[in-house]
Amino acid sequence: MPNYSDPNWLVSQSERRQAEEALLKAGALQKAIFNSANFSSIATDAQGVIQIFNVGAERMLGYTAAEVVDKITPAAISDPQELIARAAALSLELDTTITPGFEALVFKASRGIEDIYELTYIRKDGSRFPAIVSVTALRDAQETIIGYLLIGTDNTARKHVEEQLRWTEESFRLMVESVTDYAIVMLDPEGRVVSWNAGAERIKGYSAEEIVGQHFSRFYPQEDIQSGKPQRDLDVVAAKGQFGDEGWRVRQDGSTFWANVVFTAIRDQGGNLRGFAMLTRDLTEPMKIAATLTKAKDAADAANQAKSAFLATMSHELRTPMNAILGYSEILMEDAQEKGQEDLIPDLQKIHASGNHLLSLINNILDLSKIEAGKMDLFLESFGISRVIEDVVSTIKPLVEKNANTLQVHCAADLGTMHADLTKVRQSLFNLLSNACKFTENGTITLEASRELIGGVDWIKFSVSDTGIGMAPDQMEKLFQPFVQGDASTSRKFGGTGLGMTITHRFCQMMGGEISTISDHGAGTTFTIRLPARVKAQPPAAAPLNELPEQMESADLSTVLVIEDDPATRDLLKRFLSKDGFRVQTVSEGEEGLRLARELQPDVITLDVMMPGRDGWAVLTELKADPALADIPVVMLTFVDNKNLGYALGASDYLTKPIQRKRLLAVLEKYRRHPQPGPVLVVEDDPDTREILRRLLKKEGCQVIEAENGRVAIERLAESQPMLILLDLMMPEMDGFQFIDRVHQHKSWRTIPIVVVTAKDLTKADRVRLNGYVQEIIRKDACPRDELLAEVSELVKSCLKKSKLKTGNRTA
Amino acid sequence: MPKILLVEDNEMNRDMLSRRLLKAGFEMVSAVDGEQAVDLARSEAPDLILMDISLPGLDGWEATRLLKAMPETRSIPIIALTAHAMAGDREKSLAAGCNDYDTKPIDFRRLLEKIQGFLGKEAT
Repeated sequence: MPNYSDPNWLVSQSERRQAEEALLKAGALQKAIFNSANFSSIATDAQGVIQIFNVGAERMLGYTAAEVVDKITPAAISDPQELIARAAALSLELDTTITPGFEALVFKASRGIEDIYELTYIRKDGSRFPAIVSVTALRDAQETIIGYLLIGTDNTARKHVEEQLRWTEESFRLMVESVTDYAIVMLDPEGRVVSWNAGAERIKGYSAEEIVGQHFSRFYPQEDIQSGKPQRDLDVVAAKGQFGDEGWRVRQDGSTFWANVVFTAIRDQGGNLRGFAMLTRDLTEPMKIAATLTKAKDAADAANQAKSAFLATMSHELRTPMNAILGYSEILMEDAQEKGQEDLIPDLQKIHASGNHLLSLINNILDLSKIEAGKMDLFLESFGISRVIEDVVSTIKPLVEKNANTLQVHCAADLGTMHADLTKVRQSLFNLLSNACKFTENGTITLEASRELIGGVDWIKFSVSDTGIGMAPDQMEKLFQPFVQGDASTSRKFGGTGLGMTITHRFCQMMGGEISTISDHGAGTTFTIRLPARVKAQPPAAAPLNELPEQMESADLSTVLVIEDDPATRDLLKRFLSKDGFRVQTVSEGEEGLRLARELQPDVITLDVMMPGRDGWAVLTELKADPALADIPVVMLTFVDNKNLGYALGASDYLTKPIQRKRLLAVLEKYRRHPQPGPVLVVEDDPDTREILRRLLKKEGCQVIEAENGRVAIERLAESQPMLILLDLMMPEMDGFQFIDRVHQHKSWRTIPIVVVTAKDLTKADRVRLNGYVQEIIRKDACPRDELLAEVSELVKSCLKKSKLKTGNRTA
Repeated sequence: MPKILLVEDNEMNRDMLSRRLLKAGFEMVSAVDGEQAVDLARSEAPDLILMDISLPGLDGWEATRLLKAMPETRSIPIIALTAHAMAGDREKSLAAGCNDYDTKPIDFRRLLEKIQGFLGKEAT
């Protein structure tokens, strides 16, 4: 009861209410915590006997409070083995004997030490679960222990996650470790090795024990280390996140391998750099395989070339006796006629015809092998199309009549002229017609020719149709393949090598045209050839301008001295360079190379780096030390890319093997010696034509010298040497032919390219006189005036281009 | 009667061609190799030379170069005859100094035209 007489009562009353409220609040809080279903809260007396067993404990452990309160200690629901272990551990730690029962659970707490530990609780049904338990001693006002409070949480879920994580890490680690094709190396942010897998051990040779903790720069070649590449690589990765590199790396034994390396920066969630992953592959083998394949391909190409060369030689050998067979049978035919033994003539004709047939077969084989060996050239000239057709038609006549066929020819009125290889056009038409004759009996063969404008290009279209046996689709597919005829029986029945169509096909391709065919098995075939009206010279084949004089006058050629120990490479270089118009001297070793360099004073030297005895570097050093040789440009050829050393020692250029023809020539072209370009000499008696040509040439930026006839031209030649002569043939005083004769007698004039521009209808004898002396003949009447000018302009341009190239480069 | 020097190592071809040219009205001299060709060209002073290219010893190109280098034989037209027909043969022949080029087997009529072209030119 409250003491109402106390004057402080009101005060104390209110204080007490406050205290009670606080107590009530605290009680409610404690109750709430205590009754939380997620924590097991077990309170015991000082001896450990359970006094309170909350809802959470009931739920986790499966007992009701009534089943445990005042009956057991928490030790009874804990794993006994763990208790024994804990007691032993604590005894050791605290140097006192602790019994493996309740004491083991609360001993630390009883000494005032905060204690949280993991243990395994056993449920009423015997099942177990991991728990984390916090133990607190309960004390009264005198600090005497009156009991213990054990608050536990079920640790199963966390344990599970931990286990998962551990498993994932372990399996990932095992996987990384067992990969042998890739070196997977983790580096710390400074570049020291943190982990090392089996692939790294295989590829780089170090074991994990040897290398962990070492800096990764030791995987780089010495010069990379000196240039600071390892740190640069890491800086790039750190900046970019990832970085791929390819290059030489060094194994533990000092050997090198060609590596593909991918670095990845590893950062934590806060973005701090934790290290790098370095993935390395050894690509040395694939590189070798690629090199082997290239070699095999080269060998196959060489074999194919050899085959073509063999065929060409064979054909040549076969033609020699054919010469005698044909010649003697012709003699005998004439003799038989003169001596009145005409009964012998049919047999002699058969010998002669068979000989001719055999010859055409041989010629076809030769043509094809020439094409395949890349030795078939285009000789471009302007000619009237109708004339060619008349020519072919008269040649084919006997073949048409043989199978009782009729030949119809339809030529468009506007056919005019074309600029192409006359022989090849004629032969292509002849092949198509003879093919049609062969496979047609009592039928009609039609030859049509017309002009077409497709895509702004002027084309000439020839088509040959027959009413013969036609072809099935599978036969058409094989049509243009060499040595494959319609079927095996075709050759027995119809004869021939089966090469005619292949050759025609290739000829068309060479001239920038195409051949197509439409056929109905049993109802005839149409072959169509389309050729550009103006065939362009092919870079490797034609280009007669300028090349001929260089071949003719070897003193004008630039000399290359090839110093190379490998005979195959030597031979290859010699062939490449000779073909491109260099004079080539080869030598297999450095000493002799130096001697020859002094003797020949070549325009450029190619020098192999790897040679037995004195290597390329030593030879280069000597070359550059000799004042008589120091100015000769040296191109180093090597498998090893070491440009800096080369340039430091004075090399002018650098080429890595295997040598590619294109690159080689591009580099050597720079050192080619060229005569100074001169003006163009126009020799023409007609002042108007001369004026037109002069203007045209001026427009092309040429200096022009004019002469109204050959005599004046000779005088002009004596004054200055032109780079090109445009020559009319019909002139007073001294005509073009006489002029050419005079020019040819003069050694230094002989190399000037001459282009004849003439209105004269050239006879065979004229052509023979010009043969070999002039580069090209342009007919004034063969094409409209603007085409003529375009042709001249193009010739001059190609001349100019060469001479510009010449002046610009010989400074190095 | 124009005189032709035929240089040809193959006996049958030499016999065949010289008989046909004789019949066509030429005076014929034959050489079997390059050295003999050079000797005969100097001693016989033919109006024209038919030069086979593949000859034993001194080949046709070399013989031509020699003949074109000597003042007394320089002006004699030389027609190269070859069973080679590879690209470059023609250029090589012309580079060596041959005035024309023909391939074997000989097309007799074509060869005659060529010969007459040169001899006709000489005559004018």
